[in-house]
Amino acid sequence: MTKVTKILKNIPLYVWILVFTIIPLLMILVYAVFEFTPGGVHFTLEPLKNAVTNKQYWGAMLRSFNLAVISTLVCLVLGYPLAYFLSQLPEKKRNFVTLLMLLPMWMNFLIRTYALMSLIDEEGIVNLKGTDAAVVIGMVYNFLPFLVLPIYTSMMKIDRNLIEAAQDLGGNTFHVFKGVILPLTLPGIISGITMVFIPCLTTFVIPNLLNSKTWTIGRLIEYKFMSETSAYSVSSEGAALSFILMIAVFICMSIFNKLDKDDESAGGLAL
Amino acid sequence: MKDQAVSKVFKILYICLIMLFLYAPIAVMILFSFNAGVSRAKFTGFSLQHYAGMTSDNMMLTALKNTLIIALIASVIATLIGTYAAFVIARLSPFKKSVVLKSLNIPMLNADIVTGISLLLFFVFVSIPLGFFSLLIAHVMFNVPYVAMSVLPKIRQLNKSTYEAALDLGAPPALAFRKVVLPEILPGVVSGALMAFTLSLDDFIISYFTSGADFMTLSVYINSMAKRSVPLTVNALSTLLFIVVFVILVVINLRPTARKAKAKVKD
Repeated sequence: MTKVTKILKNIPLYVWILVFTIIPLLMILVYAVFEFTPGGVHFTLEPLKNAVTNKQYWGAMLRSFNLAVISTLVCLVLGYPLAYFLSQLPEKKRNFVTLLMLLPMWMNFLIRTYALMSLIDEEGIVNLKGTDAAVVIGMVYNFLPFLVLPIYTSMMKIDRNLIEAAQDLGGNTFHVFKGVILPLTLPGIISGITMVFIPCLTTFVIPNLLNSKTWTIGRLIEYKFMSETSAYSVSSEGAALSFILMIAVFICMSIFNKLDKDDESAGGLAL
Repeated sequence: MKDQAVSKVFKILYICLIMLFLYAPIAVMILFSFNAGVSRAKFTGFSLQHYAGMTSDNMMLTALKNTLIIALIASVIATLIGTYAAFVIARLSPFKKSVVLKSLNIPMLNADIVTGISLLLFFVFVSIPLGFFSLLIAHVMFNVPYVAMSVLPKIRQLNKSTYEAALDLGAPPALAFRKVVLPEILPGVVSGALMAFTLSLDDFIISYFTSGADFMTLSVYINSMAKRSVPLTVNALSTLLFIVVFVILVVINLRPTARKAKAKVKD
């Protein structure tokens, strides 16, 4: 009896997840392979085939991938030292700077990107209008805090005694960094990369505002669904592209997940 | 010794440069909210006209109202569902737990554009017209996992014996829950609710695909104006919101340190 009530208590959650998470995702596939016309529903693989074979789409996918890799690397190169230096500040200053870093995230990112745009167009400090460099700057500007925070958190968790022990054993700054700090912040690095890479890969707002000549996969999908004068249009090709992007995102996620797990087990062995 | 001083200066300089990068656009945005003209590129003099103009910018005010209403209702509903979800998940067997957590967390990990498109197609398929209701469902949907993840650790820390003790002492389950369990998990519930609220306020991508043409949130409104030109009243509003958030954050961040200081004195 109690088992039955227990299951009954759990069912609403399963229904919730099924209806509002799983089924909508399946809808992407449904609209990619079925055409809904007033005459009826018919099955077609044409949009998926086209999404996979069309050179323009591949170009957009590749370009998005490149931009995401470059932006994530720039975030890492700028953000890792920032997290490192931040963790060495005295507590009060540290908290203040962390607050400063978080504060812009509370502002509407469209209006911030819009303001950034005015700094890097014809009348700005540097004219990067319509270049991929502008898009990279836009992405770094928007996503840098998301990379810094997890690394900073993992740095704050490091036991100071470990660093001191390494120093006592004769390690110089470089040795301590390479032998203690870097390996212990690796989980933070991976989760930071996860937080930044996927949004960079899929964003359409930033390239829309900063370089409308560049077709990224996000812009392409947005264009397929929202370019009509009415609120939206259901596009089977857009659905097919979304499906491919979804698969790409899930592959990325599982790679990051695996890296994270490997790292944990390696840490376990080392101990 | 000298090396240390140099490296310290370098570190501070580095932090300042990054902060400059993060704040330069915000400074520009604030500066132009005081522009006497309507240009976003040329500052022609100081004026408060855009602040005064806010009160008559009906489209913007409606969008702001919509944003606040959606964020408020969605975060309340998401907090209820998310807390319930956390209780269910905490009691599941390890295998079931991992499956349920993975599927619940999909919207947290997935790309927003994919979540947005999936919901758009779902609403079209089941013929829910896009507008207030669809937007609310979308916001609740992406908020629930954040609340659940925030409450779950608190449930794990719960001491089952105290709840059972309350029952043994004759408290009805509802009272025992309210007096014993709720105070323990409340910090997780509150931080989950706050996170849900701010995520809702800040969301653009999912709202963009699920709100339809007639019900705009502030982000969707700004985006719709970006094709032409975003009026400077938006800068004025953003500046005011920025100041409000800044004050709230400073107050929140000062309070715990004050408490900590008190605790130290007591020790």
